[in-house]
Amino acid sequence: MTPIADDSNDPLNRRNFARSLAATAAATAATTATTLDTNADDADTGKKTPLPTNKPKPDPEPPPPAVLLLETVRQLYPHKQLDSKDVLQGIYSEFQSDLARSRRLSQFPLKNSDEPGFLFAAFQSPR
Amino acid sequence: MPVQDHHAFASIRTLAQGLRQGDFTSLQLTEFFLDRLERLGPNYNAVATVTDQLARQQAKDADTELAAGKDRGPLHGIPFGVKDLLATRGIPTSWGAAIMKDRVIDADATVVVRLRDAGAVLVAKLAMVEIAGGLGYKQANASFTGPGLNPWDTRRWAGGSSSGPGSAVSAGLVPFAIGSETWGSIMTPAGFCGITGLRPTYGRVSRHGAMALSWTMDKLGPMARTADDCGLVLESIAGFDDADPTSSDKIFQWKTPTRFEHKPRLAIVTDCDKHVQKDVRKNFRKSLKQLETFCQISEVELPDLPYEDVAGTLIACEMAAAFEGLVTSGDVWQMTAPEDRYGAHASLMIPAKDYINAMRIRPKIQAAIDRLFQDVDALVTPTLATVAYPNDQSFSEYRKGHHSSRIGGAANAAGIPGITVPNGFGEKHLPTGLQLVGQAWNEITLLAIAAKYQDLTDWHKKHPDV
Repeated sequence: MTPIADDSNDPLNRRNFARSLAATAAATAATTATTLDTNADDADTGKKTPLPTNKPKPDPEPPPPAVLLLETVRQLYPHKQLDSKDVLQGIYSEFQSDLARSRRLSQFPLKNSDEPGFLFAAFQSPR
Repeated sequence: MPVQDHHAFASIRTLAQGLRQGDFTSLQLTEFFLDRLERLGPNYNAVATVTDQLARQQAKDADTELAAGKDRGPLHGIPFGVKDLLATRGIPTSWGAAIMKDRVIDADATVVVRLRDAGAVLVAKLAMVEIAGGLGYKQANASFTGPGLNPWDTRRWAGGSSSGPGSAVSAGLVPFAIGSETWGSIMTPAGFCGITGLRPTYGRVSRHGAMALSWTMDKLGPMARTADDCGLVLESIAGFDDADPTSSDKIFQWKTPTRFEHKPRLAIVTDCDKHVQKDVRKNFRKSLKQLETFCQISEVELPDLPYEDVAGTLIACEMAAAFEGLVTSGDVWQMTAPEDRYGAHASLMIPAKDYINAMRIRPKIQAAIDRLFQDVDALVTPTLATVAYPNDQSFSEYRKGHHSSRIGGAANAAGIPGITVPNGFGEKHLPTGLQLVGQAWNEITLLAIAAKYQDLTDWHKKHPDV
């Protein structure tokens, strides 16, 4: 395959990238913790969790999908090379491209009756 | 007349005639090309394995049969090479990857069998971009054999992913070769190296025994000196194969000269030369003048459909499925190009609905492109936007501001055939190409138009000073 011109990559500023990655861990942990606390209260006491007296903190900003996907790759295919910033940057750029392409595909008007281009047929072995 | 230097750049018919006239034997011809492969191949990083023992045996067999009056046709006794993604029993098949350079697949690809049955002589497995470029390489150095170097100027890239077939044919190391194209891998090296390359219709040639990058987009095809040579080779390798359920039983027969029933109708793809290098445009316009002498020429606009998104999604998802093992084993980190080491990771995360939606859009692309051929026999464009890229620059850096027509993505998504022929020289005296794209199963028209164009021009007779 010959690489095609692709101008859709939006190179991530290294500082922002590191910040996003750190935010992911923090945000994921915070969200999980909040959910667990609430559920534990309800399950343990059967009582409604009392409303906090002070003003509730705003939900942490969710991390960008590409960062979440990057973390998923690190979990599913762990390798020491995935600690390299250059490698992570490269994969992150690919995710950005793929997500943009995914959005464009989703915008294409398809009807329910538009079937995929591959054919499937029931199989019966020859008698 | 024994084999002489000019035979390095002779057409298949010329060599076949020499064999039958007794000018030389297949063994002499084979030794001639083996010597060139050994001596010159390293200059271009063109060769993965020289198959000298097998070649000598096949050549002796060809000589014996021809002497006994058993003539298998025009390829009988003619040496050739194959891209190193085709399996060959007892000979390494590397797929261009360092970790597989000694790996032997104990079977022959159907194409290899068919060429053997046609009496052709396998002299080399030719270099290629690792994993046929499916991991996302972005620069020339992406193979365990080193960057594919262009015989017209070794500071330039030979093109990919069929780099070895492109440079080996161009440098006269083999009379013809088999390449593969998923998206651009025949047309690009053929265009950059100034040779003729044919991308057949998907299903025309069995893929059995070829590395699968994308089961629904991979095609195998000839890379040679002339359209006539490509026709001869395609006739030998085309046809149904039990081992590849996507192969077709449609008959392909090549005869030349072809008589046109009517003046061929060509359509220039609108704006196809708008963003190409100046010399590419100039050569394209000159080519149109020559085509006008025997063709009607109009203009057509490609329907606005997401060709690149569909083709890109299909290839990425099928590659991810085919090569997840490289990632889980960690072998992928031994790829040559740094970007190939992590290029598969993102593709592993593409959701299934994207693949299925791409497959749902694909029939619409096929129908829309097919409709273009109601009124025309072939679309015509420059093959590539630029001449061969410098080896010391990233692809995107060199081609910045240049892009060719969208027909490449459209044609590969639709599975339709295309041919490139050399049509002049551009920057730094590097070759440029003319591309014709045709309706599914209509290679014969493309070949006939290309052959006629080559009757009127001599660009295909130019060769680098190697």
